[in-house]
Parts: sequence; C-alpha cells; structure tokens
Amino acid sequence: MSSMEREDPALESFLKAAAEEERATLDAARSLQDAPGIELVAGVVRRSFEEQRRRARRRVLLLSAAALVLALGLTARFLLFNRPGQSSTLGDEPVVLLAPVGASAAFSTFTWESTSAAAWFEVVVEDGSAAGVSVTRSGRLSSHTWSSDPQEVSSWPDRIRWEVRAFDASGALLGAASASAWRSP
Amino acid sequence: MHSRLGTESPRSSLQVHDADVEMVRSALSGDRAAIDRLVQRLACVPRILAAKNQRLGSQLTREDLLDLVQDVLALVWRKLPGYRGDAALESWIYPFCVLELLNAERRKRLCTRHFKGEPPDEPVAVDPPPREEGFARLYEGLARLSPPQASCIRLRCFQGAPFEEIAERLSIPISTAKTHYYRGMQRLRALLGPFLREVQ
Repeated sequence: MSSMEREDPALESFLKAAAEEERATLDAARSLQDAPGIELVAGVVRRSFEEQRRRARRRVLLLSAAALVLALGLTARFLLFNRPGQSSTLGDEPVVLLAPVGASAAFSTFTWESTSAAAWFEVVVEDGSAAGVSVTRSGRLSSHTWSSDPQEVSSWPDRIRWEVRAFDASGALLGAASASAWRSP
Repeated sequence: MHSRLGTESPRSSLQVHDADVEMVRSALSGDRAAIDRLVQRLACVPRILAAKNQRLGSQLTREDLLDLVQDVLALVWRKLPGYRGDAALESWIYPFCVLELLNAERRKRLCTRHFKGEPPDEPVAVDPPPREEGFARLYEGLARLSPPQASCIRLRCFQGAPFEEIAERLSIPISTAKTHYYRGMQRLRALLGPFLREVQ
C-alpha cells in the first residue's frame, strides 16, 4: 500500500456518518405526504424551462444575426473588390486595376493604381476565353497607364484577361494584379 | 432496491441512475413527458427541506421554506446539466438542499441577532450542531474535487460499492478508480483537516 493509499479511519467514519444522515433524511422526506412549497415545483420547473428556451432562442437569433451581418459583409466585399473579372492582387504591394474591367466600350487605354514604390510596370494581355494564349505585352512602363495600338486592338478577342506586373529598380517582381474585360455589345 | 426518493442502497443500482440521466437529458432538451416526470421527481426538494428542517429543530418557518424551495429549485435547474448519474437524482439534490438550508438558517440567525442588538459571533442555542456544519463542509469539499474523485468517494463511502463496481460504473480500470478515490480522500482530508478534528 502506497503512502497515498493509507486508510483514514476518522475521515471514513465521518463520511459514513454523513451518508447515514443523508439516508435518514431522505427516508424521512419520503415519508412526508406534504411539505411547504410542494405545489410550487411544477410552476418553478416549467418557468425555468421556458426561460432556458427563451435564452436559447435569443442565442440562436443573435448567432443568426451575426452570421447574416458576416454574410452581408463578405458579399459586399466580394461585390466591391471582386467584380466580374477582377482578381485579387499578388505579392505584398497591391496593384489596383481601374479600366478596362468587366463590360467595356473599348480596350484602348489600360489604367491602374499602385501604392508600391514600383520603378516600372508591364501589362500582359491574354485571350480571356483561352487561358494562356498571349495577345500582347507592353514592355517597360513608368506611368500608370498604357494605350495599345487601336488597329491592333481591333483584332483582339472580345474577351481579354490583362495583368499589370510591378517591378522594382532591380527588376524584382513586387506584385501583380489581373482582371478580365469584355467588349460591351 | 432503489426507492424513488433516492435512498441509496448499499450497492448502487446502475440501471436506475442511467434512467435518471436519460430523463434529465430528455427534459432539458424539451421532451414534455420527461419534464412531467422530472417535476414529479423534483418534488423531493420541498420534502427534503422540510425533513431536514425538522431534524434541525424547525428553525425555519413555513414561509422561510417556501422561499427556500424556489431558491433550491432554481439552483438545481442550473446544475442539472452536470448530473452524471453517480447517485440517484434525489441523493444528488440532497447536498444542495442541506447547504442552502444551513445558509438560510445562518442568515436568519444573523438577522435575529441584528434586531436584538447581539454581537454577531456570540453563540446562541439555535446554532446547528457542529456535526451538521461538518457535513455541509464535507459536501462543499466533495464539490471541489475533480468529478471522478468525487464520484469514486460517493460510490464507495455513500453507497458502499467495491472498487470493481466503481470501475465498472465509471468505465475505468480498477487501479484508476483506486487512484481517484485515494487522491480525493487526501484532498478532502486537507480541505476538512482542522474542522474534522473539531467535530470528532
């Protein structure tokens, strides 16, 4: 027997006495036909249950409201930042594409914004209906706009995907963003 | 044989307690029939309070008991999700009744002394016997043990169950049941220490 398992007669007899008192009281309670407050039991229990149900319902409502707000927030964010064709930015420095995005009257001028300290940019245009099929690329650009040759543009597919890549002075890619655009009827 | 008012037989009746757990779970999840059965079983609260009050010399009046019944029922309702079926529902409820009854008596004594202008710590004839205070401390101590420790002590000392049956009831190895029991007793001894010597 380990030291932990040593018997403690005093504590054990006290526990036994408590058990006997409990048994005697429960026996006495069982023999009572009536007791003050016995008529209150059903009311208190049912009230407690209803209160618990109300609290649970309130919790469900609050959770539903929170979920709805979250869903609305996510939807708004999606609509604002992920309009048809616009993709998320890549890299640490965001490039925000302004036009053309989605249904567009013309593909003549491409504009974007960049908060990065990019030294130069490059625009890459691909066929929007055939992934990976290159249409054209701009070469090094120092401004936030690029105009393609109008004659060349007329031969482009109706749907394009274009990407702006931002580079630092050493030629390292800082970030990129792409978007789809299509000719509006 | 287990009775409806929870007199624990020396050997625990596993099936009856599992049925109690099931009834409580069903009632808490809104089963109307289970709620009706629970209402009948919770009628033990006023009976236990009345019986204990009688055994302690009827310090509380009928009006005091009416208030107390509502307080204990609210307390029991809050604690019901924690009922694990280690004892019959009535035995599980018993400590709440005793502790709340002794608290109510204590409040009443303090009130009486206050209105009589007596110093609050002067002993008076209506103080409960130290043994009762000891039992209350014991129940408080059991509530502070880990659930398996408290279960092992209750099953062994209150229901006289051997370690084999405790292990089966709690679905643990016999050696683990013994470890929980002896560790619980050690902790209980530390919690009750000086008080235990006083009431012996």
